[in-house]
Amino acid sequence: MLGYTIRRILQIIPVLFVISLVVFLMLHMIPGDPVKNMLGINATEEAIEAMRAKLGLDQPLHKQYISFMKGVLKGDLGTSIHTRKPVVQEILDKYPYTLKLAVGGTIVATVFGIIFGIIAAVYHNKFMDNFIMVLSLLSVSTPSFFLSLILMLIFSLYLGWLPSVGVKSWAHYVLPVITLGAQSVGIMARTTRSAMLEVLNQDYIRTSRSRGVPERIIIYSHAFKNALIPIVTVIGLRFGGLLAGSALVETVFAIPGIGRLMVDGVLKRDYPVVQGTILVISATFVIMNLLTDLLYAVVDPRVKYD
Amino acid sequence: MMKKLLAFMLIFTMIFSLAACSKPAENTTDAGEGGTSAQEGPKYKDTIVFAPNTDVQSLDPHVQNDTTSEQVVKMLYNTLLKFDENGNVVGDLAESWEVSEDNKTWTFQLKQGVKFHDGTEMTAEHVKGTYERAMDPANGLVVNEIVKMFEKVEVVDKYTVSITTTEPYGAMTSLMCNVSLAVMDPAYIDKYGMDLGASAESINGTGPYKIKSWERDVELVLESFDDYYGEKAPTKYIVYRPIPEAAARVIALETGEVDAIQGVPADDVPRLEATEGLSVYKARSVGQRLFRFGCNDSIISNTKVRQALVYAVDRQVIIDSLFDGLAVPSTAPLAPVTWGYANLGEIKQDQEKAKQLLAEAGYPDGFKTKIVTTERYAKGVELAEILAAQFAEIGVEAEIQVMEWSAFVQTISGLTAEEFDEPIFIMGAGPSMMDADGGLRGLYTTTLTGKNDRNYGFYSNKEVDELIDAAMKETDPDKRKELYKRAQEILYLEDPAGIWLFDQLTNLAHSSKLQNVTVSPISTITFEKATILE
Repeated sequence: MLGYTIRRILQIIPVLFVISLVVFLMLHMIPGDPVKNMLGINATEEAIEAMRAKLGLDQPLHKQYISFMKGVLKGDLGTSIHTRKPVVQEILDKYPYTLKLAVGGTIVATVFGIIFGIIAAVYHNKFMDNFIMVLSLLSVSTPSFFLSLILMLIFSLYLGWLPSVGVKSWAHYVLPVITLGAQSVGIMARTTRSAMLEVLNQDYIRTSRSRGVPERIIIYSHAFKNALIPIVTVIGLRFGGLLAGSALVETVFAIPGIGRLMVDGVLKRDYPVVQGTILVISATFVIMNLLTDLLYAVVDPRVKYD
Repeated sequence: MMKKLLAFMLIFTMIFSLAACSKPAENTTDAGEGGTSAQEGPKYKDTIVFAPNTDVQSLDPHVQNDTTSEQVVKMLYNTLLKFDENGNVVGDLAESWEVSEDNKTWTFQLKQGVKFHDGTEMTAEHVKGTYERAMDPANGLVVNEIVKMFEKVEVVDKYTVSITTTEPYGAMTSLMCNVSLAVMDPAYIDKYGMDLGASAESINGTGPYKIKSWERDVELVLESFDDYYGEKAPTKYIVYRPIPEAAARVIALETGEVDAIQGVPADDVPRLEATEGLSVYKARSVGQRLFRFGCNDSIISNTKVRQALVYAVDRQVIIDSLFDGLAVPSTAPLAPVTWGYANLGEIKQDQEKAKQLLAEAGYPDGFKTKIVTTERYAKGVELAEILAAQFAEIGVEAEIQVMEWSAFVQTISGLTAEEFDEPIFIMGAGPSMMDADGGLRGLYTTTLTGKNDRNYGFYSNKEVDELIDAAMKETDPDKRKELYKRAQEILYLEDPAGIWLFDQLTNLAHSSKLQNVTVSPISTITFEKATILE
């Protein structure tokens, strides 16, 4: 298991290298100029050229990339063109906000998704199953933007229970976490339901039932345990997805997370910020995948890594 | 059972361990929200919370280039001169000023005893250091463009500074009110260089407020400056809490989490106006929305074609359907609050005249063209769609191209006439110096470099060039106004440079308890006199 883990960690390096190269090239290929963006449309050619030279953007592309990669190896992701702060510092400042959202969203999704999934599987093809499946379809297909504003209207404006925007207290995170989690609840419920149904149709379950084992034990102890692999996979993937895909929720709730940092960076063509955030998000995603894979061995003793 | 527990614990440990790495959000406001200042009569809160749509980009007066940054810079810094409530130029850091007989050397007598936030006294050396930084093109600063005519800045004595321009400059006093020329501390310029204005500690101004804390995208807190040379600000703390999403901003105002918001969507204005405890303040601004012509285009270069398109548009329909209550039809290529504005009247839609002009231009059946727009400007796409529909009624078929802002900026400036391909393109205009020189020169005068640096649409009219140049050098206000009037007549309709649609109103939705907010014609909102009742 240790050898496998080390091998997997080493595999991350080429993955991140390729990502950094692709992101770098894509950023420079899309139209737009960070300096013009910064100095505005009235800036003189002279000022633009002077600023470009100051920022090193007048260098050939390969030199810019090599100097970026040299920095990465030293743990330096460059300096933001717009805020003049080191990108590492920017990410360290913003990442905690996104992590809180992603962790909260994943907990909401996991707890409610698994409960609803199990109930749906147990009441297969009955009213409760259909009801939960319709709900989960609704949760997956409601845009987070819409849901955010509806929740804000109800809980902040009409009921006055929770603050609408900002990050000043834990209460500020409740609505964004529910919004983020809501979309994943549907996916989790559907995954749990289908995994459970597959297991519940197995012979050993039928045998247990014929032996008179109580239904509660069959479901929680025999079936759910064996249905965990796909559920763990989805949790890992959703968590990674929430880390990368919370920009919209961060924008609506005015949370200064890494998603917003990345989107703002793209809009302003702040190359170092975009490169840095994508690298960090990719690394998190890859590490989450690794952790998920390692978790399989714990969840299912049949899985062994050599 | 144990294994099941273990599995669950591992899943959650995985999640929580990542959470544990996170740093708790710093509480930046120990500003004592809800506290009161000791005053007689009505009780006031000591904190005003304001929600702009974006965080400050830079607090370096030479670099700031957006309304949010500009309005905070105005709270932190002062300029030599300023506009009073009636739009007249009065002294700010300058006690008095005079110009030499050749109209080239301006001498400013500075007020004495003006303190920077760190306690240093402001002198002529500070003014010199500030302007010399702006004048050096190698610094790559936004401000450089507006001080191109500065030849030298000299210290006459401790409290007297003179600025010599390469030629007489009629708009000099308006220019000296521009916040981009706010007086800074050269010691901070040397210390922070390009990083000046990027953090709270790099700011040292003379303004009524000093910076207390700044966590980007979360909160910027200003605290009133006790040693301010002018009238002290009545409210101790001003908190800027950026909320990018317009609908969320409106909700935050309605819940009372913020006291005022910037950029209210037109659709929400009537509802907010009807809400008890809230008010919407609207004021005329220098801002105008127009679609400019790319005069390098073979068809658009024809004056009659441009006139036809100007007559094809029904401005009232656009305002009624998109900006009800927040815009008024334009009456000149400048807004009425801009110095030098001449009222040329609203251009009414006249489709018959438009068709006739098209026929005279040799296009009786119309032609195909392109409208380029961006969503950065409010309702940019809808505006282009209405324009295209109205053009279609006179036989002109316009394809709409929507561009993201960064891409748009790159395509509308720094190009040659061969490279530029935008026959009709959206534009927001409004001179921050509130003078016709800022609103016309460069934007509509023939480009000298062969590239569309500021004259994006390659507009070129010899008479306009001469008028604007003469007005720039003229120091007699009445004569300048006459010159600008003639230039505007040509630009507006005789040989139109664009289709001026409407003048924008700046709006501020706020709690009715908030009073004395300053809304300037350049759309900046400042709080140096503001108070908020408990």
